[in-house]
Amino acid sequence: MSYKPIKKNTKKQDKKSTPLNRHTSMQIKQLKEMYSHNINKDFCSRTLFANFNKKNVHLFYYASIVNSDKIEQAIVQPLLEDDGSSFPNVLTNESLKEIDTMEKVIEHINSGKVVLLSEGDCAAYSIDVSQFQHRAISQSENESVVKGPQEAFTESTHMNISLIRKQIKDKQLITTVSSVGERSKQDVTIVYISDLVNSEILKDVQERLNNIDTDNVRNVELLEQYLEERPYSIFPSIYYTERPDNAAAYIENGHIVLLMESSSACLILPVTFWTFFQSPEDRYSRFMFGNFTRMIRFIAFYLTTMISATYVALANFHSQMIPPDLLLAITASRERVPFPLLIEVLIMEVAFELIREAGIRIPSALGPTIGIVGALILGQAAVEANIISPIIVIISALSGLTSFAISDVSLNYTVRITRFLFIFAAGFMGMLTLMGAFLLWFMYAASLKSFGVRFLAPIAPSFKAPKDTLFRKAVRAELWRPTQIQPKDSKKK
Amino acid sequence: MNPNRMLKAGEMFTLLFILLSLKATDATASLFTQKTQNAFWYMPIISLLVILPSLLLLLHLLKKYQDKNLIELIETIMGSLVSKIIGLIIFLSSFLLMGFSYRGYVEQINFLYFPETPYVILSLIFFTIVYFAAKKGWEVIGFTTKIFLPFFVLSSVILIILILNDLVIERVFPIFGSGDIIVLREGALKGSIFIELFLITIAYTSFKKTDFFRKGFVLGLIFSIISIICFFFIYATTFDYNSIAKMSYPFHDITQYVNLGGYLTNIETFFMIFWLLGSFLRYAIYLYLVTWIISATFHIEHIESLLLPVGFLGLIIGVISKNLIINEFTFYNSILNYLTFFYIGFPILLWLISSLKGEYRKK
Repeated sequence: MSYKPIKKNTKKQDKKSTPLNRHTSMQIKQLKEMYSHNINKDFCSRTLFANFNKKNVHLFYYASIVNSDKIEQAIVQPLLEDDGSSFPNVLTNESLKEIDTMEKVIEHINSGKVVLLSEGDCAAYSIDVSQFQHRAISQSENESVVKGPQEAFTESTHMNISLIRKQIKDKQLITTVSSVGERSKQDVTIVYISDLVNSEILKDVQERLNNIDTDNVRNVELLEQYLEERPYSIFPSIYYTERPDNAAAYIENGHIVLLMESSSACLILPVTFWTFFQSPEDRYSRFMFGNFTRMIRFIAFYLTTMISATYVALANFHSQMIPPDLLLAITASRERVPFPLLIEVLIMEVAFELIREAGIRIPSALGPTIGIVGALILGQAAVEANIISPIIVIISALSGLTSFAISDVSLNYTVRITRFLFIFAAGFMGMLTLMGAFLLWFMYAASLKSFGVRFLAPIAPSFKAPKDTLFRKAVRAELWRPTQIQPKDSKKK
Repeated sequence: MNPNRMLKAGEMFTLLFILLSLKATDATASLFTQKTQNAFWYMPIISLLVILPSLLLLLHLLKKYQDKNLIELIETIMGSLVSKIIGLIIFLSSFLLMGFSYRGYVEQINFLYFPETPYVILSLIFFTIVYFAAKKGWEVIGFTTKIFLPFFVLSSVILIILILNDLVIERVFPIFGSGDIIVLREGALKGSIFIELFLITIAYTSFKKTDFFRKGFVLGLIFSIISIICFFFIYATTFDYNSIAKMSYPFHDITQYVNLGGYLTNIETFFMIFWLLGSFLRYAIYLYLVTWIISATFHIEHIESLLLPVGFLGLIIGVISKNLIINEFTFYNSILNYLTFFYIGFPILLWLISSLKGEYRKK
């Protein structure tokens, strides 16, 4: 596999570290200053008198992101009452960690841990008592299925990993953590099966994560843009899904999944063009049913990208192709329309996109309005006013509706932008330029790579695969994992 | 075996198939008919037989000197200076043929679909698309052709099924057309219509295994010949030779002739879509190969940066000739005739020198 991992800064390696020393009161003052103790209301510092070593112990934490009951039970009570020789003896919580630098202290406080500084000690201790608030698990809304599990990821890495582990009970399922961001350190959890994943790709992903040079990456939606190779490309190169069952299916094939604390979705990589077409339901439905859906989706893909452009090309340049009766009907309906055909199609396509965008942003209480405005004004009034001809309404409704069959969020945009490219191409020189634009669009896709994997694999270049690319085989007849990502174990059985 | 290369036998097969079988759709058929009348449909076989020994010899040499492409092979056997001369001849000949046949393809679009548009505009559009397609590189061209192939085959099968009713088999007689000697002579002279077979050996090392090249080469050649013969046979039996000699683009006449029931009577645009995609790809392959040869001959590293000058000069060649008839039936015809001798000759020369030098035995 030939690909070049991005090599950029080495900024991470030369960052400073300040070791803790025995002048605890100085350090406490420093910490309080750093956290603007007097104005920052949810930053807490408490002082306790520890029973076991008869010294003052200082606790630092953010009240808003910790569980206060847990602090009482796991820290305050043992310190005040219990006897013992050292901190690990007294504080028996499993997450107790000894830390020795100021930077670590800050990092731990920021990520929801309690940090203990004992007077005259040159080490500090941290205990994980974090409790970030998040939503409960709810139904998947953007990738809904009729047949299949309904759970979706939620904004908590712990819960998300638990949702994945529920489906893959494999001791080799590994969840490692990398941190990104300079100012605000965020954890990115990398999930994979260690004896399947391609270690080169894994290394590449980790390197790219390390090379992200920015203050803060808040969630996977932003992480996606930091990771991808071609930020200006119209094709997505990372798969974004909110379904844990989908993520589990890809992990089992040797892919890598990235999770972050504040995202209710995950990133899957590397992927191919065909990934974006597939819905988990294709596999949950029986062979015939699943493939039927696939076929419908391919037809939808053709219609949504091409139907308007084809109409422009045929009606403008190749009208001999249209049967005479239909041609007469089209001409008659266009008789009173003042615009050229291309403009007419563009008006309708843009109008549809407007309704769509407005429909997403509109407050739900006003939702029905958009239907009325859209249907009445665009469907009927525009035709009656002779702005557009009725056949255009049909064409653009068809191309708009079929675009919803491409359920993937990222590919959906690709398709919608492509449609406009093709309409312009068709308006220029008919089929000649339309086919030229299509060919170049396709070849561009063929030239792309997602983390070293060719975008149109496993068809071209060909690889052994589960034969689940365009259509799928019966589930029990699948022999191979997708070998384009070169998993360590390519046989499924 | 090179793990970094992704091209396999399937891609080789489709690359060669598109490069060759599209000849069935251009003016080659009517070029053949001029002198041989209704024997033209099996003439490609004669042409192939004439160049086959040289071709096999070349393949044999490529196999012996592992991991060398056409130009590297010539350089190893003949030395630097002679290899540059031969490389230059191969380049110039293929470049001229590309220029002339390029004209032919754009004229087809011009005549049939955009009669009002000036030829220069059309050829610029065609060239732009071909250039950007070729710029994506050899691998991407291979992947694309492979994915498109089923659609090309499907559209051809539909066309064949639709025309089947109108065939008059008796039209192939007399089987020897204008006379067996003329047919043999003309067929032999036109050996160079398969010049692409020699050109594509420049890509010998670009496959995952060189076995893939040979496998794809043989299969691609067989299937291309079958499809060319098949289409020529259809032209011969649908139109008879007199009409073909006058019509120059029998493929497009067939697509205009067929209809799909009483409702859809003009379906040529449907076939035109696939023909256009095929032609774009064919010229992208052709342009890439030609540029590859010149860059290999003079050891220029970036093939992609040469595509524009080579392609554009090819376009100019196409514009120079005054009209199609002169272009196709005078220049193209005589170039083809002369080139046959060269392409039959040079592999034999290579083989002789390599045997004499003894290197061949050592390997």
